[in-house]
Amino acid sequence: MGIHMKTVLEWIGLSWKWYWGDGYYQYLLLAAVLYLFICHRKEHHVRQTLAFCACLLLVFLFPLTARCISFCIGEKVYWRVLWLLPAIPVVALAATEFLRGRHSRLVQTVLLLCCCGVIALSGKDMLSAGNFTRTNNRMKVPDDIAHIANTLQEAAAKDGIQEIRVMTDDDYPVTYLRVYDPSIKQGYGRRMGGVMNHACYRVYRLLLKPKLHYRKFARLSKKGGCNFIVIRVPEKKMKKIERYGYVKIGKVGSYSIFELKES
Amino acid sequence: MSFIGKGLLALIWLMAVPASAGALFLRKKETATRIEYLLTGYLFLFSLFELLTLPMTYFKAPLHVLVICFGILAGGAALAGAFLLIKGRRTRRPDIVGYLRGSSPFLWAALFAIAFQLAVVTVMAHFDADDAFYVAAGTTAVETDTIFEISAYTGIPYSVLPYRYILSPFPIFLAVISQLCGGLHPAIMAHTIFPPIFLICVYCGVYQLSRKWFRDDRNAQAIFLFLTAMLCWFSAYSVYNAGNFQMVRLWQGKAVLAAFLLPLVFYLSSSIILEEQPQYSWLLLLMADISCCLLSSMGIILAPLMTGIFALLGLLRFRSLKRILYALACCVPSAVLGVVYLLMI
Repeated sequence: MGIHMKTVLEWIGLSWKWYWGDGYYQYLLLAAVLYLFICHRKEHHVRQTLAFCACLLLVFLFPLTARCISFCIGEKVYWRVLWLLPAIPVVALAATEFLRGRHSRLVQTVLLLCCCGVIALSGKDMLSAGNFTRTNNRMKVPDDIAHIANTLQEAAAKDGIQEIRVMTDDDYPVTYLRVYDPSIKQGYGRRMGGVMNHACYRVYRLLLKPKLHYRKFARLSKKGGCNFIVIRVPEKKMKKIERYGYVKIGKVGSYSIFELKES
Repeated sequence: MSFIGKGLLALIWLMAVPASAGALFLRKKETATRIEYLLTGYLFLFSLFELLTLPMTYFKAPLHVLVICFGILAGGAALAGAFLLIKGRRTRRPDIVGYLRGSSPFLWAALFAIAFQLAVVTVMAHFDADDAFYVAAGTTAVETDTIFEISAYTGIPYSVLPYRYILSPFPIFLAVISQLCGGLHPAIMAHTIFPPIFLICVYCGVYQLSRKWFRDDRNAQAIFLFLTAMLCWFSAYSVYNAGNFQMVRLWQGKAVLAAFLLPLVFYLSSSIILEEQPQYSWLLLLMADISCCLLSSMGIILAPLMTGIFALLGLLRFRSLKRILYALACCVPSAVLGVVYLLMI
């Protein structure tokens, strides 16, 4: 029981750590809660909000409730319980209560700018974190994926192929191909989220090995009914893929695209 | 239909329809604002969608049937709401324009910060691997005219149903809305239309909270709105927090849950359960609970957890059994779906 309790406490701590990452928002929250408790606790809405935060943290940190909730939602995503914690509203509430106490507009503006500085130092802005990029396609999937999908469609149209069944050698193309073009069928889904048939399952198992066996990959892909292969393959290994009737029809970035020309 | 035409249809279905339909549920609230109509309208649309989709998934109805049923019911509610709004137009005050006229300079700073965020989420792209299911399920539903019959990952029929997702069919909502908008590609709908629309909804919720907390102090409301926008923008310190979900992937159900619906449940719970005179009908809290179920399987647990904590605080404050019973009744949809989920796995 002792070990079990320790494990529960460990992943509660881990969930807390994941949620706050390398920012200082949790300290902002702590400062906000202390400020509100000391200076504004008599106000109805402040009392309500602080009481809610206290209850929620109790539920989050108490091992028994944590165990019950994580049984329902899963241990790996237990941090999502912290979505219920109104951290941003509470920090904004405390700062606003502090600022509204200053009656001069100039003082308010200067202090508001200081608050912005503190926020900027405590967190990380969305653009510099590399969250956003530009694409040349309206679906906003990676451009190389759009290019691969278009190449597959062009080849299929040229050769009168009714159904595109594609096998790839990693999760990146399978993640976005069907977002861009849902008519394309895939041998397996992201993180093995499904397989087309047993041969495709064997291909996926093959991909888990440290070194890819290209010949086996091509043979099983053909057996699995895949008429296209999208794979990162060195030039000298191309023959191993082509041996099973696949012909290279294009290259997008590091991915070579093969089409099955023989039945 | 041109791309711009489809964009206009998206504005109608995602802004005008909820804003009109919401009026139906706030008839008794004399001081209701357009923002409240919009938020209530979304609660209605999400609840309606969940209630329609679950039986249709069970009976393997094609997607177009769901599109037609949802379109008629949501459109009908919007028309009825618009009729009510036009009828009572003289008694309603022009809230947004009036508010802007006598506004604090901090409001303009807040609006600028929000407009900047809207521009970023509309123009820029964020690649998220979870789209492999959440968006692909929408594109697959449109492509095959089915509801959760074909695997989003492979494109072949499911051998085992994705139980976790069929109770929270938000990807199908994406598919249905894209069909209602003249067949706009679901990926475009998800990556370009949904983020700004839902971001507006998020800040509408924040604005409501500011009105509750700083009643009659517009300057404080504006400062609160501005600080909230800043805090959200600087939330990239971890990929798990609600602020990050709000900014980078507001087209996925769990992000809409974390950024929009859970704060709205917080606002509604504190305005209904913890007020002497509930400011809204309990029906809104019920609809919020059903809406959370639509968005994500997390919502099935998290929404009643939040309502439950508020119910406990309400019990301590008012010692009213009736109040706690109403609050528990609002959690019944979550409880039912939770049991169904546990029975299915």
